[in-house]
Amino acid sequence: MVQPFPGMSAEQARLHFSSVLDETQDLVGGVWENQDDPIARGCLLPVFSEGISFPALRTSDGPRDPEATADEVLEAWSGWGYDVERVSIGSVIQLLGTTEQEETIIFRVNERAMTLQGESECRPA
Amino acid sequence: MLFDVAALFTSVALGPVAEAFGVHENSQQIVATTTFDGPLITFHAALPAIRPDSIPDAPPLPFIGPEPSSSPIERVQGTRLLQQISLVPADGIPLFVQANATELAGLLASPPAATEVTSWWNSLGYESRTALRSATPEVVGNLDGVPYTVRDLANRDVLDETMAHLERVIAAENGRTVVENAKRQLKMLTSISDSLGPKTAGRTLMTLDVTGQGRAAIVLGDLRTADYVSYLVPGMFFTIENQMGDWVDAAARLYDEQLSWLALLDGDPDATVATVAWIGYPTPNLLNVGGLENAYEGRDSLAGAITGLQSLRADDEPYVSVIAHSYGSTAALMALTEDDFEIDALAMVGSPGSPAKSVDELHVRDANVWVGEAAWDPIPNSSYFGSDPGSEGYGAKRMGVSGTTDSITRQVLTGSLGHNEYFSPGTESMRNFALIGIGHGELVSDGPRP
Repeated sequence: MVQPFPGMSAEQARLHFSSVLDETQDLVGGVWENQDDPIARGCLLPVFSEGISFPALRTSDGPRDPEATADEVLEAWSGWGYDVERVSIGSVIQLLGTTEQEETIIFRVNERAMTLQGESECRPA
Repeated sequence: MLFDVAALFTSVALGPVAEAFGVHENSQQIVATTTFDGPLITFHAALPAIRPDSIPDAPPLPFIGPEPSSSPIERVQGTRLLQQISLVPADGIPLFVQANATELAGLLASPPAATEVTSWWNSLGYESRTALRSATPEVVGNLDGVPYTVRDLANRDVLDETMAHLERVIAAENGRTVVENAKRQLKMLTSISDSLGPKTAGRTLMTLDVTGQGRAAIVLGDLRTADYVSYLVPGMFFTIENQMGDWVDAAARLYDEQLSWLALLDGDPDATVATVAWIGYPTPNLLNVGGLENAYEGRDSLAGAITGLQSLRADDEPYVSVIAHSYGSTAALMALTEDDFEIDALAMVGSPGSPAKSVDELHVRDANVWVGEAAWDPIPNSSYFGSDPGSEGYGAKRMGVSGTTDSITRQVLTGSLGHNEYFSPGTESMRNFALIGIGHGELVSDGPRP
């Protein structure tokens, strides 16, 4: 995994974020379709200066055991330094991982599908 | 500027041209008997070509947007103009456009029904369509009922040409006021261009007005085929110059959210979505936020946009939702009360009120109306513009925006605070918007009762 570091550029933040997604995909398995939006998104850096972050959206068929899969991802993300929130919405288990630098990563899983999305850390454009 | 100079030529040559094209307001001539030999050739020799470079650097005219109440007579005139265009040979269209610039501008101010525009456009040959797009891209790019791919091409042409023109004006340095105005306008258009991205990114410039405060609508996904279409309508203080990028980002987040939930929930693995970052009306500022004039324009523009979609997709109608914020909710509620069309779902956040007294008055199927109010948002409950959609008597469903509770730790999760946090990534409100927009309201988290 590409490790983050203070003062990294937007592109470096994107590379780190992509590597987290790749590692998560490898962890849970499955064949993933990449639907990443190619256009960066605006965000705010302290103090009210503009930055950019890079989004991602990946989808795959559902695993045999969604609960166990969610547990695996939660444990991995926690170990990688993310604050992870877990909720259930209908049949879907959602994990929301965030960092102090406001990188956001969302994993959703049920028997039908797995989705992985989010935005890299906000860095100067 | 184009309309300004073209109008001058039209007024000079209107006599013979009016006879040829039957443009007179009180004309009793039936268009079908009008011919275009002889007078057309003579008239063509009298008019020079009009190019952006030859236009004096004047401040842009205010956009002639939809009138607050377009009369039936005005719409009939628009229909008549379309009929007249149908009879012009393709190589005569540039001349017709020059001679009828005022009438064409009026077409946007009082457009015919989108269904009529669609039928009319489909009746034109390829060469005529191409000629129209080239000769009057501002009209073609903004006329509801014209296909979106055509509108995108026309609007991109206008965007690129206007930006190039403004850069020349700035470089020429002909007066401080002229240069400052040009810089301001260029900044606004640059925000649109940046949000649109390259053609390969697949975004569509559905609406564009380069003058004054500007108007724009950028689409993610394909409106021609999307199963679910969501319009995001902004409110006060949202300007093209400063918030176009933010609003397109919000539409992009919603797009991703909807695709994620469709993959997890929907029986159709090929279902697609489109989200529209719609700043199609002049959003109010501090000076006029207390009035409803801008809301009237928003009402008409939004109604036109949605009926245009429903006209083009009459045989394959998508699930249509509106996600409206703040003052934008008032405009949306007006459209859904007063105009003759229906949508499938409506979500409002930060609403200052509505002329409708309950969801029963809204043209939203199955009463699929949600309202959300973030903590510390001062605008909801104000009822400034009428009934409060969040009140129990209104009948709207409450939508959670303040963060749900972790099912394991019982910790309150990511929520929205204040008037402008509803569209941030990873929030409960963004998730609920997505679910509402794809017809899964049963999974929308509840909001607190007043």
